[in-house]
Amino acid sequence: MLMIYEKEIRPDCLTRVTQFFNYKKKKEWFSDPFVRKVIKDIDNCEVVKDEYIESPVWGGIAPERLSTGVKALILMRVLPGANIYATKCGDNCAPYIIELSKEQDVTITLKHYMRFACDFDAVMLDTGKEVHSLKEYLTESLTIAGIIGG
Amino acid sequence: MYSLEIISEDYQCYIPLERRITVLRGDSGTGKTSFVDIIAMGIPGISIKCEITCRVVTLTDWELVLRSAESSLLIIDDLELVATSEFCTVISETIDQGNYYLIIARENSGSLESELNLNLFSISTNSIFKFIKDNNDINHYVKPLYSSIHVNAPDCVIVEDGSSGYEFFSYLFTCRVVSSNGKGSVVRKLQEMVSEGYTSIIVVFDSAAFGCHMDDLSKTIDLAVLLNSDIQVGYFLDYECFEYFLLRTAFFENNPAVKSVLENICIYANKFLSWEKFFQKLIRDVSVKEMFSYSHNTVFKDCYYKKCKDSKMYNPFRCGKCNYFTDKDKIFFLLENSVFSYFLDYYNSKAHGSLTAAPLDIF
Repeated sequence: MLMIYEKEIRPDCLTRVTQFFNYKKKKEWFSDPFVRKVIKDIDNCEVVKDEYIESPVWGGIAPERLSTGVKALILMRVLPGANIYATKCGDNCAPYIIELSKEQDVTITLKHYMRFACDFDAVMLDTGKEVHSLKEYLTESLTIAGIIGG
Repeated sequence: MYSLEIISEDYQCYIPLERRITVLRGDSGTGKTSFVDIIAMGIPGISIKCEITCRVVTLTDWELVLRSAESSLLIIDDLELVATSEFCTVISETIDQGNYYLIIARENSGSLESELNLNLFSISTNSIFKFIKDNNDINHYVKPLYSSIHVNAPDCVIVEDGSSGYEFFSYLFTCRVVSSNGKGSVVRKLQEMVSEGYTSIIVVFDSAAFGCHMDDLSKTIDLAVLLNSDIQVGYFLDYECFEYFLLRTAFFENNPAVKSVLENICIYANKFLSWEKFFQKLIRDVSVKEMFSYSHNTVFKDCYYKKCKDSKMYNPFRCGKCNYFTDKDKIFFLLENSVFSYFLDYYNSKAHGSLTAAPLDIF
């Protein structure tokens, strides 16, 4: 299930995605099919073995050089209980967040308008309300922002 | 205009720095962080071209750098602090140091402006760019994230301005015109008008300072369209602010100071963090001796929209000497050859008849 905070960045939110990822990464993370897929689809890089990754432009690269959005997606995958700051993710990460949330719990904080572009199921943790479509998500999101109602 | 360019075999990128604050957004994996890394590392063999000193700001030194740097380009990447009150305050307090800022973030920096009364800090809608890479993964460029949307037959117009702009546009548009009384309330007013059943809405906001509200505006429009696919919402991004709009009218087209500024706005307007403040000062200075003198937040003269002889300000002696005295419909006269002539598509002069007001006795 996807769980979303929007009202504020809570103290438990992992905002320093790059710093945390660079320091805490483990080589076994990179054998996960989801991790390999997002590295390939978003950063156009191939995981060769463990932490050795190949970029068509830069050649062999370390995981530190992956994009911040991919690092955030990897953390969502390997730390299902963590509250990840998904404002580090571009709109092209949104389908992968939804896909991952169908397999496991994903908790994110959003402080920008992420264009999800399709219906999805989520719980808006600021209000506890469940949403099941893009329409319901936007309505709840604008309510939390004080634009609807209040 | 300044720019920042990186040229190497593996990575090429050009970013125009039209205004003091430029914001880069875009998909993940497009090379934004690589771009910053290249500048931070100063790699031999990679050419970095910029007319001013570039410096990458980090989480540990940001305040020290922002407070000490002068006439530099400060690059702020991946630091969520851009949406904090501390960051906005430091930017506001260091405006006179002439720094430019390249902010790579999706957070809405500046949204705390009204809350903190930081009325000098604001981001233009026109300075938010999408960072893009070509299919070859080598060439990178930016394009404006937002563009104007025109709506043909509005049934409602929302004007950010609660005074002069509202008065002017209430006269120009024939449909219902409402004011949001400030940029912070524009999106709520749009939501309210959609709820009231309006389906073709134009929002007139100051694009020079509306950047931090575009996320909420886009979200509100997207929801409105999902709920009713007939809904159209338009806005004009070339409308920097009401003062800029007036400066582009016939009243100022032959003014040498205005002509000079408009030919190279960046040189003059970037002395201010927000162009809105610059245009407010410019129009006050250039119109001070005119019959149509204008100053932000003072009484708006109706000779900007009423025929000269219909104006409350009409005085045969003084107005006869005005270079712009005319019997023509004033809205047509002011806009027909201007960059904002498209506003005439919404104007119906016959709706106003020809009322002649008595001259003011102050003359």
